[in-house]
Amino acid sequence: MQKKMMQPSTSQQVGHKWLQRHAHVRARVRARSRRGEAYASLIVFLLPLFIVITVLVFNGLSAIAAQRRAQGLATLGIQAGTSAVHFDGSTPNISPNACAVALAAIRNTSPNAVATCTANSRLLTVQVAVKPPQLGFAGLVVDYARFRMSGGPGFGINHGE
Amino acid sequence: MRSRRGVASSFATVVAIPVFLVFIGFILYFGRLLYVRAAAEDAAAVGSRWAVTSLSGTQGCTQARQAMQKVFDGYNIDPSGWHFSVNSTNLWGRGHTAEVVIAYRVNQAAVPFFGSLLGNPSVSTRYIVPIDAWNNRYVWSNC
Repeated sequence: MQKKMMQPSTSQQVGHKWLQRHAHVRARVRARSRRGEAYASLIVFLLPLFIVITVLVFNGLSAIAAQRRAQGLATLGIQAGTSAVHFDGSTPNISPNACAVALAAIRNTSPNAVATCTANSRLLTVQVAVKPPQLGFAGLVVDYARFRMSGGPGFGINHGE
Repeated sequence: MRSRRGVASSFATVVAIPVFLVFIGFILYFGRLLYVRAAAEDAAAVGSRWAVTSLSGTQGCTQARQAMQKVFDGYNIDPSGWHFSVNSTNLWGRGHTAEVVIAYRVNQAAVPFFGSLLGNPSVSTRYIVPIDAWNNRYVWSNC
């Protein structure tokens, strides 16, 4: 079966001949479209890419700094909490008020940090969450930097002497 | 025609390079700032721990400074810009608290665009730590 070829319309034929005769116009049209392509690739592809990379770098480093803060606050809380001990004979045990001491110490240094604490007589656990400054939208943002730390009644304390 | 194409591509380059430099400047400026911030947090946490588990305030200050200095060395940051202070809120001793403060002015002069626009920022962090109830047992001295 033979395919029927599409014939150009009269106006298309005229336009084509006109462009053949005026080569400088064709060149100008091509140059303009190339310039347009350069702008388009810059705006459509490179600009969002740069923005996303920049936001990721900022958010990542900000989250690392907040993580260090959370780590420092958790250490501080454990250190304060585990120094609240009472002795059963010669054995030190964590006092019932250890969590209150730990959380007060954390709040004293950083009122904005969210801290939780659990304790029994042998182990104190503190979790600290710090909200880092972030840019951008969901998917690029780290809501909280969290650090969890546990310590026994002997944590950093020389009460054996 | 060739010159027009050249003009088009060079014009796009002239637009792209400053945009690219602004992004690089932003990354460098805030990257350096947040790196120093992370180092300061780390050093202050270590310093406060060393300060309050010492036998006296004077010793606490000395060992806290040494510990913080070692942390900064680990981060490979020029230590000349650091300012440390370790103070007790009252006389150094059990039941009181110590305050450890670190401040650092970040030299951003070499950072393109943002360095001259925003200048040299100062990073500081502060920890208030209860002085250890078991280690501090000698004569209390102010830090």
